[in-house]
Formats: sequence, C-alpha cells, structure tokens
Amino acid sequence: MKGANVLVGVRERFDVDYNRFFADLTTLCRALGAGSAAEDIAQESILHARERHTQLRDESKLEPWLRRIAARRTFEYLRRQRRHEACGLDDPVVAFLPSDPSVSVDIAAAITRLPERERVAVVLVYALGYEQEEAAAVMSVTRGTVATLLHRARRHLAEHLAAYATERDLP
Amino acid sequence: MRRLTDHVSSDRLGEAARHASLDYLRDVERRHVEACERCRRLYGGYRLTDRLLAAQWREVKLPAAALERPTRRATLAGLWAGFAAGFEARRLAPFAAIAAVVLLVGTAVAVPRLLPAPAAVPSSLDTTRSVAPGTQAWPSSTSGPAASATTQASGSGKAPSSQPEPTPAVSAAESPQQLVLDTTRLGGDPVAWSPDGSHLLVLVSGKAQVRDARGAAGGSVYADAAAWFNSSTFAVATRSPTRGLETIRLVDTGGRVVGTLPGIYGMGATPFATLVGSGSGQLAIASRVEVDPLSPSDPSASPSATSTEPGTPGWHFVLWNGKLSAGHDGVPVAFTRDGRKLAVLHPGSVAGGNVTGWLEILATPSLKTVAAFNGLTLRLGPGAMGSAYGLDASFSPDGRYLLASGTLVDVTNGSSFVAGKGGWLGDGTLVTASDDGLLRWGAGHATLDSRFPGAGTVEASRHGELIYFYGDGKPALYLNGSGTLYALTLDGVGSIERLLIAPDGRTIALDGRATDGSSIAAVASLTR
Repeated sequence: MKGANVLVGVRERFDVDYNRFFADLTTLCRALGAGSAAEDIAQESILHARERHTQLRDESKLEPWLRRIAARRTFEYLRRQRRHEACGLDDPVVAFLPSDPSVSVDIAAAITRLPERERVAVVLVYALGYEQEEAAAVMSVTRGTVATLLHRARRHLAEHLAAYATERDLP
Repeated sequence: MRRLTDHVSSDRLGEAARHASLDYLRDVERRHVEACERCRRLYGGYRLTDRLLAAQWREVKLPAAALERPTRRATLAGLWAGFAAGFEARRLAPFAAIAAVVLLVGTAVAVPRLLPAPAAVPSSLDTTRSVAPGTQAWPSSTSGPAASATTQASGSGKAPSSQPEPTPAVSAAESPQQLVLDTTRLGGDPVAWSPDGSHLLVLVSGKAQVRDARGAAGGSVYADAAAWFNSSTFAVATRSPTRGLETIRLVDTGGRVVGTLPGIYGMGATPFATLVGSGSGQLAIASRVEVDPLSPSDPSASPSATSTEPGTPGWHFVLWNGKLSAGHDGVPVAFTRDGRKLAVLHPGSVAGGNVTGWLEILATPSLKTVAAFNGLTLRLGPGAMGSAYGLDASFSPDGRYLLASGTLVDVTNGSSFVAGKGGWLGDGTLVTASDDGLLRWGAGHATLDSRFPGAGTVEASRHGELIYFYGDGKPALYLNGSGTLYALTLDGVGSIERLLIAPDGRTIALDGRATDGSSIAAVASLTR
C-alpha cells in the first residue's frame, strides 16, 4: 500500500503545484525556442504526465521527469516547424539573450546560430540557471556531454565575437 | 619547444580569458599574443563571451530576418576564411599546391563551380554581420527616436547597437557657463510636478502637500500614493486605519477634497493601491490582492470589498475618467502623452532585483488590447511615490517607445533592450545616463555626448531642457532649450540625489545633501 500512497501524493502534487510547474515548463519551452507555443506545450506536458503518473517510480524525480517530457515535446514541435518552414522572415523569433548593454544584433545572431545542442546547453545553464546535471537530464545526455557542449559553445562564440570585441575595444 | 611564432591554442586563450589576464599564459605565449592580431582578437572574443554568459538573460523578440542563417555558399566561404586565418601562409603551401592540382583537375572535368575559389572569398567575411539594414529589432534610422543634429553625423547607416559610441561631432571643447540659482527649501520629498508645471506634490509626514512653482505651501491631505489627474487636480490613496482598505480622493491644488471615487481598494495583509495619472483626466488605480477574495478564511475579503473585481490573487486595476471602468488584470505602468494608450505590466516573478512578466498595451478608455508582448524583464527601482515595483516609466512623445526602469520597449513589435535610465526630449530624442556619460539615442544606436562626462543621472523636460547631475557633489550640468550649457550652483545644496524638472522646463525640485551634510529638499527656478 505504500506505493499507492506515493502515487496519490504525486497526483496531488499536480493539482497543488500546477501553477509552479506550468510557469517552470513554460519558461523552459520558451528558452528552447518554442515561442508562442510554449504555454500549449507546457500544459500538454503536464496533462500527459498526470495521465501517466503511475510510470513514475521515484516521486522526488517528478520535476526532472516533467522537464524531460516538455523538452522532448518542444524539440518535436521545432522539428515540425522546420519541416513546414512556417516562420516567415518578417515573423519575430523569441530568443533568450544576455541583458548586457553591449548585446547587439550581431551578438544575438552569434548566439542563435550556435549548433542546436550547444545553444540548448547554453540556454539551460546560463539563461535558466540549471545545474549541469539538470540540463543533462532535460537533454537526455550525460553531464560530461553537457560540459563538452558548453566548452564548444564558448569557443564558437569567442570565434564569432573576436572581430566584434576588437572593433569596439571590448572588453 | 614552443616557438614565438606558434599561435596560442584556443583553449589556452580561453583559460587566460577565464582568469581575465594574459599573465595566466607562459611568457612565450604572452609575448606572442601581444604581437599576434589573430590571438589577441580571439582572446577578446573569449572575454566578451564570458561577460555575456555571466550576464542576466532575458527573453527578447527579434525579427527572423535579423537572424537569417547564412547561405550555404557564405558558410563555405566563412569556413575557408576561418581556416585560412588560422594558419600561417608558409604552412599552407603544401595544401595550396594540392588544392591547385585538385582545382585544375576539377576544371578539366567541367566542375569548376562546385567549390568557391579561394580568390573569390572576401578576406574580411564575417557571417555574423550579414544583417540587412532596417531589419534590426530596435530603433532604426527611419522609425526610431529622432537623433539630435549634433549626434546624427556619426550614426547614419551603421548597424544598430546598444553599445554607445563616442561622437566627435559634439562640441567637446565647449566649457559650460556658470549659473548660480537661489533655492527655496521644501519640508518634504518632492513627488511629481503637475502636467503644466505650476504645482508640485511633496510628501510630508504621510501627507501629500501642494506647493506652487516658487515653493510656497498650499494645502495637504493624508496619502499613501498620489498622482496628477489633470493640471488642477490630483488623486490620493488614503488608507482607513480601522478597515485597512484604501479610498481614492480627488484634491484640488488648494488642498481641498473635491470628490471621492466609488469603491474601496486594496485588501489582504498588506493592502495598498497604486495610482498612475495621465495628467489629462484619466487615472488608473491598481490594487494587489494577496488572498483569494472568495476565500471564506479571510473575513475582510469579499467580492464587494473592492471595485477592481478581483477573482484571483494578483494585480487588478480600474480606470477612472469621470466614470469607473470594469476591472482589468495587471499593473498600469504609464499613459502615452496623448492619454490614448496605457501600458500594463502583468508581473510573473520577482527575482534578482528584476520583475519579469508580459506587457499589454491598452486603448483608453475602452481598455481594449492593442498589443501584447511576452518576456519583459524590468529592473526594480525607487520609482515614483506608491508606484508598483518602484517602476519609473514614460512613453516617447509619439507613443511608439516605452522607457521603463531603463529598458526601452518598442510597443509596435515588443523588441526591447536595456538603454539605461533617462527621459525624452520634446523632439523624441531619448537621453540616458551611463557610466561614461550622457547617451543620446537615435538612428538605432547611442552616441556619447562628451559635454556630460562621467557617471551621472539625467532628467529631461518635454521642452528640451536637460540636467545631468552627480551624486558626489560635482556641479550639475544644465542644457537649456536653446542649447546653452551651464554648470549649476544651487544655493545651499552640496549634492543632488534626485531631481525633477517641471514639464515646462522652468523649475526644478530636488532632494539631496546640503553643504553642511544634512538632508535637503528644495525648488529652484531655472529662469533668471
């Protein structure tokens, strides 16, 4: 019966913590590039997880599990978007960027043009403040892979921004 | 053995950047970096990257065209340029010879166009800078805030950037004339000038007191928050000591209560209301509901306890323009100058000194949504008296841009960036303060006005006057509407902490430190 109690606890947490889960997942989906679909994906992810909460063995891993579901759905959504080329050149794209006064379109472009896995790792760790282990769980990779992706992303950004920093005598 | 001519590896440069010093490198490496442009540039790139990664991140909207991926040909050319830049020419000699043979063979079999010839690659190709003019997310040369004539010269045709650039066109050698002003002391903190600049609200011991432009005291009334309704009437929110709820009253410049708005506002453990006035006969009144008003556990909470119709905890507001509107969610931030639009923040979370939420632009008085944007992050600040989150916000004269706590938002597309705190001149030029001096924004970028050096604070009037002042006792600099620069000496004032210019640009109110070190609040006329 202990297991049943745990399951009831998980179901209750969906109801009690719905707003917090929703806000957390919406931010995650936006950061991953879901844009205006972020709220829909977050809600679908919570409903999906709630229906399948019996699959969760360890209650303490509820949030990482939710994030993984939301991330997977976001990546699926982005793949569909790319296939259909739905985004016109005049449509705004939402991106997470450093709020540094020196950030310009050049820098924004450098960040958004990072290879997808590197960009995702950068956004999860630097924009959302996830630990590398948490980012690894969301991306379904190992912590070492996240560290490697961050290292590569830093090098790519440095190469992109080398001329920009020199021209403006930064830093 | 490392030779001086060998490039320093990317990882070593990255480590040096992480330690913020070339001293981290070995002597031979450091000497090479100092002599080698490529390594120096890469080191600079790492330093900038680390600074960006350590900054706070926020969600912004950018036009997709600005982030358009480079074409396949440009990518190949960029790869080749990077490859070529990474090696010394003499090392490339054998590869070049092989490439030449391959090219010749390729030519012979009629496939010369499959690969771009190295000679066709622009030497300075930088795919990150392929943004077409006019596609940037922030103010452009055609639609942004107008640049002043003195700063336009260096700005036209450049890519947009929030990075300030010095402008030699500004008359750096101009020395300010001395201007000594008499002051009249106030008994409290100045809050806001009336829209016509004829009266000033001053907070004195929990009361809002009216003063005329010369500082003479008028009537006063108890107030938790105050805002100008029009040039002759202001609104105050006053809390009932017994019921813990607030009433909103309209008061004339003589301090007489001329009306009380229907409804009572604010509830919960820490009730308060915030007021935003258009100055032209509209008032937005917001309350934060911290408990569910329908919850039976809180006896003070009932749906009738407020006219803002709260259904859930959070911010709600109503609009008063002679009659009360229906309730609406969100925190009113600022009216446009013509009073036809109202910016409303829907706060989500508060962390790290910032409030994050989404912004809604409403038409008034209908409160119909004109535009809405996600992902706005604003810095919390001291703001005006009773303002929610201490936000200090103002629209540009044309209503296209909103400057809220230093963040500039284009309300036509939601793009935003940190411009710094400042204000709008009458011609639409945005002026903000930075660590290096006064920035004038226009043509999509900022230019430094070297007449106003160092870290200060700027206040501007609608008529074009601006004052740049310092908190450390340096004389404030005053640029009048006709472009004459003055160094201000204010009688009895040692340093200025906060300053308000009247909308007509004729009078200032300030608080700060007196020459004897005590606190001082005063008004002074800018006209002699």
